[in-house]
Amino acid sequence: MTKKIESEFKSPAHIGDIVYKVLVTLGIFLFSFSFVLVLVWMALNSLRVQKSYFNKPYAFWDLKGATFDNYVQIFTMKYGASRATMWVMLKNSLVMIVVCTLLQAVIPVITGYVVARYRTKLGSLAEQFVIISMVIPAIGSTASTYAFMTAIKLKNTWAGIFLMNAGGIGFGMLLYKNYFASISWEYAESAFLDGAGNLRVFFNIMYPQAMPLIVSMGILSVIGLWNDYMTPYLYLNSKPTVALGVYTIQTIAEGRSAMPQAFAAMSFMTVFVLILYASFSKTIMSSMSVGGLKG
Amino acid sequence: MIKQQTGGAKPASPDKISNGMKRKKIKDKIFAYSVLIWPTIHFVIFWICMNASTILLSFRSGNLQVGSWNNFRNYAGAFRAIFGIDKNEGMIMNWRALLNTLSLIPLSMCINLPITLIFSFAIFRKIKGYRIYQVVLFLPAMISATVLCFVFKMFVNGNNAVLNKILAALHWDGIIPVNNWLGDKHTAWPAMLLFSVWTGISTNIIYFGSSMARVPESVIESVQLDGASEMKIFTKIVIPILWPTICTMTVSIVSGCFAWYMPSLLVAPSNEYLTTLGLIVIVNTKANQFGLAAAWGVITGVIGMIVITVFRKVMGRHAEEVEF
Repeated sequence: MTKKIESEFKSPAHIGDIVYKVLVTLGIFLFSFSFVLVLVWMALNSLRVQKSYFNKPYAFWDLKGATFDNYVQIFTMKYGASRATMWVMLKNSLVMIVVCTLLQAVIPVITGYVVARYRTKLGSLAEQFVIISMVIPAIGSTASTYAFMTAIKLKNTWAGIFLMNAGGIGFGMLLYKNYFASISWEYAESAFLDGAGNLRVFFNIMYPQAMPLIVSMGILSVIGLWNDYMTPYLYLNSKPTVALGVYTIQTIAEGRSAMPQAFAAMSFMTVFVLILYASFSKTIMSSMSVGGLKG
Repeated sequence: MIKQQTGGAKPASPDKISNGMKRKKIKDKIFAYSVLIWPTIHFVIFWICMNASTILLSFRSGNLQVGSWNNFRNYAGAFRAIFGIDKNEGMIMNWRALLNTLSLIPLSMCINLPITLIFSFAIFRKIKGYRIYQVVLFLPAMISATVLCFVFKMFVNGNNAVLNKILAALHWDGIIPVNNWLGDKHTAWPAMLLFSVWTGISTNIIYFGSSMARVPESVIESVQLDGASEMKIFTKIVIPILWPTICTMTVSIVSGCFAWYMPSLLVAPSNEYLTTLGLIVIVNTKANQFGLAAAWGVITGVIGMIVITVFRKVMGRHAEEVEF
């Protein structure tokens, strides 16, 4: 055995292998290390006093006079034109997250199911729509969408945000369609023979089977909405969410050079995601392969 | 259980079957259409109508309420900016917008994509600590862009930037540009590109990882017995099997390049060196300059569509050639 390994190491092909291994390990380590370092840097800076940060912004280990005041500050101050506190922003974020995630856990799922299992012209058209919409960058129509939402007076309203998130035709639909096309149809068929209706079959038999995919898409949607700065920035200025609030805090903190406050806000925002990610990372990783991109 | 029961039932008369089948078919149709009607309306309004009205808006000045048709003035302005006829220095609507946007494509294809693939492969091959790497490498995709961009800004922007302080501590502050990293035309965009490499490898690792998980273990074991190196396994087995996934991903990567504006918007929205097509659309929209924003939107859409279609064609052709 040892002889074999020795001879393997001697052959020139495997010298390349060693070089590859060293480089890749180093690369992966550096990337990972930098991500962790940023988190640590942020978290510790949020406890520092302004003067200490100002003098040595990189010295995150210098915790002389460390304090939770920065956190107290960000939770008591009122921000922006709407004078919202962090608690109000937190409430706004939760409303947006809950409703939009629920909408996305139903509409694209049932749309994908119908496209996969019922042959209709509209269904195949819907599939064409997704493909077309992937080719033309969505950024182009931002101006007219904004103008439209303003014109129908849905800008700055919850109804407007929910309406925009109530679509069923998109990438999600394609994932669900692939999923429903790949799972067994037997249970549904026998339920049909027993006289169950279409809606019943979907909700009682097919929907539960797609649960792993729906849950992981749901978690990604929660994280996406929590982090989403753009939608509130354009369409929900009067009801700022945490993401918009954190940006406002950053701007204020920069103006006043009170960076540690900005770091406190960012740490708070990140902790939420990290907890969610830590508890569901396995679900996310494993079900990605279920719905993952096929060829 | 249910199936056995129904299987044992006596066959109904042919008449009844065809009647029942017909009724079931009609019911199915009604169900399918009533489900599809809302998503279709939503798509027609929020995608088709919005894109169509972008084209109309792009020929108008000002906003919806006030403003008038100004024919091609928005486009004329945009093209004069893009081709550098109007110098427009100091404004974000300048010739760098298109160039910066396009420069993201080779960056993400030639640097981000290979790094992502190799990292995914290393995790797939279970290098030491792969479980930790798998979780940590996905972090940037989870953390808000607001946070990542601010961290980046603190690192390079302003006199009190972390990088500058470190360089000063090392007595290397001579290399700091006079106008600072983001204020210098030679360093501003490259700094942004570095940032997009740093944050850009994250999302796709999960997709490639899950595709690699489908590579049959037996194939890898058999070539390993033949003494194949890791590099050989990567290039000769994993890449060909993953090729269709890679093709699909490249299309979405290229499409992402045209929608790239967030970092610029969050780091320095009025920095002339960091401008992109998407940024111009967003900044003008927010300033109620809908006509101008729409014209830039149409230009972004058309250029994007052409580039993406070409990519799809080229990648599609190669996807057929490689078979495993």
